[in-house]
Amino acid sequence: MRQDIIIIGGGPAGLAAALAAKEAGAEQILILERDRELGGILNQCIHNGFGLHTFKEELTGPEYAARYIAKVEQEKIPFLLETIVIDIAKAENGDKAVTAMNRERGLFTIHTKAVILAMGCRERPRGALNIPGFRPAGIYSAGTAQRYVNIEGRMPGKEVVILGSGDIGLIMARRMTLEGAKVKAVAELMPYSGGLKRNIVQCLDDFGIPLKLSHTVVDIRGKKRVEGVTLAQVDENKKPIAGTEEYIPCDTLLLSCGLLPENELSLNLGVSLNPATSGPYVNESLETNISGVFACGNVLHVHDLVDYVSEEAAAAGKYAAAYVREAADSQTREKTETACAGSETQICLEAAEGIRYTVPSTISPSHMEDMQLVRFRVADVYKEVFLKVYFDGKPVVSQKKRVLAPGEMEQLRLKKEQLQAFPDLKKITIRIEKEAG
Amino acid sequence: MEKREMICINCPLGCILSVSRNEAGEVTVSGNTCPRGAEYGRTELTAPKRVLTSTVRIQGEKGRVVPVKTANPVPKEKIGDCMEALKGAEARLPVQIGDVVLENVAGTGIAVVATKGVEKELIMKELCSDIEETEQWCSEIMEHVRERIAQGNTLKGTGAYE
Ligand SMILES: Cc1cc2nc3c(=O)[nH]c(=O)nc-3n(C[C@H](O)[C@H](O)[C@H](O)COP(=O)(O)OP(=O)(O)OC[C@H]3O[C@@H](n4cnc5c(N)ncnc54)[C@H](O)[C@@H]3O)c2cc1C
Ligand code: SF4
Repeated sequence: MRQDIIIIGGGPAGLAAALAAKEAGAEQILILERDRELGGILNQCIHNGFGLHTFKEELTGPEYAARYIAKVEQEKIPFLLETIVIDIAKAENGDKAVTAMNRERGLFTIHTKAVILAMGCRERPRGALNIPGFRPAGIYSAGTAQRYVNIEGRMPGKEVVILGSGDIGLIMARRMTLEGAKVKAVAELMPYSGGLKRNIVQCLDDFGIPLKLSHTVVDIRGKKRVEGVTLAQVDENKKPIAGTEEYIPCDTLLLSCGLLPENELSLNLGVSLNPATSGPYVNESLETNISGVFACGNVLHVHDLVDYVSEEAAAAGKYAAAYVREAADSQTREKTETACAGSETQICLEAAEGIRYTVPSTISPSHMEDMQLVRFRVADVYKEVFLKVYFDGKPVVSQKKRVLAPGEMEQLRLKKEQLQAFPDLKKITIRIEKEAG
Repeated sequence: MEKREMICINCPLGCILSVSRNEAGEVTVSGNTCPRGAEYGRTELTAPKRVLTSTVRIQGEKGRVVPVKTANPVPKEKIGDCMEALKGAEARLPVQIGDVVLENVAGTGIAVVATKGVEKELIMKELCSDIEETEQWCSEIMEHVRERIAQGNTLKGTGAYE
């Protein structure tokens, strides 16, 4: 049967998008999830700290997921579990053909007017880490270790070194300590942690676990099983400094080296990706360069706060529902140009000095709402600086910031009336500056 | 006068608080964005507490666990004792979200509750998908082996398949 909206992924992004699309009047909505249950990565994030902004109480991952799952069931939004989407293609009349596979139905294709990408992200593969030596047992990605401990109830090891101070690594340092392991150090290549401040306090400081910034693993000892690792300090070019090596005996090395949006499906469809996020370029409606294909959550850019994922996904759901309505009226909808190629109808957002990326990357004033949220990450740690926004080179916003860090997603609100005051606006530039100016 | 800089951990915003206590014992907090931060700064200086999250075994289901949390924050120095108590605890199927798994954990007066519902059916599914994972893993290895053979490599003496 032809669907209005197919949502790929049943994590917090997929669930919130489905609910918002339904609320906005979309009829035929279907969620496809490859796992055996809804909830995505939240199922293995058993720690608390989810949903304070949304529910005004502090929930654990599974509890946060359960609230959205209950709503999806209440709204009778259909979903298929253990169903993996393997292809999205363009079909006639602007439709998309989504090909999926599961045990009951084998391979099948469903046509839909709109698609919402909500596939989340996965851990960076360890091959990319470039640690010399053997690959003995006892090396895990932090996410795999998290699944072992929190879902399967078994411990990967007793004496642990963690490489990478992303949130999963920090959270696993605490989790394994609580379960009786000795976490000897968390080594971070960068001079700052990629994780949230609160996780450094409550996962490392609380337990006296040392965080070694500007350090990396230069050697792994052990043939069958890890016996120890050698850490060394690195210089500004991330090259190990001779003479700083320190050998730490351990039986387990966890790698927490960041997350990558899962965009193989998007690439095959021809969605253009932003190299800074590895997620799609999107416009104000969270629509990719392929009309009718929307993206939200970790597949769009890696989030550290699930509340923001839900909020962003709800917007995507609403915009997708609007697309379905408009598509019913007219087959020809204005083509979106999200890669910012000097289009006439869209304003380009430029991530300048100190800003790694912005989501969205274009805004079409005719489609924007009264208030447009712009999310971004900074490229380095900055203290006592100003966040500046320029409209075609003219300063419009200047906000003082005590601390900005790459580990924390920032946001900025642009009002429609601000944009309307500049009728021929082509480019909005966001940058970090030292002076108030 | 006692003064400390700390990071509020109540939510991921992580506001930087400065907390001070004067001679009269009055605590003042600044830097917080919301009232929870003031509350946090006060208790963190006087009697730090944490919500503990962990897992407990499921009775009769070897190697299966259910996630739990303390229903309220427990004193930080009690966390080790609470973990010890959880080692002996077991949940019974079916588990509903919010079910009390352990009353008065380690004498804190606080209950430990389940944070996820688990039914027998889900566990069966988990077992099945483990087999799938194993199969996938094997086929990946086989692919690698075939590649090596195609390249004319022998598989012996590399240390990789010991
Ligand atoms: C370790 C860790 C700790 C965190 N801690 C916190 C915290 O304390 N507080 C907080 O607020 N946030 C936290 N977060 C952030 C937040 O949980 C995530 O950003 C959020 O869960 C992302 O949601 P998502 O729906 O985009 O992705 P996911 O939850 O990853 O969901 C994506 C879903 O898509 C499915 N999928 C993927 N590809 C396909 C396909 N081809 N076919 C079908 N289905 C597919 C996957 O199986 C998955 O279920 C944490 C994240 C991590 C990783
Ligand atoms: S003060 Fe409030 S907003 Fe700031 S970190 Fe604490 S709980 Fe969050």
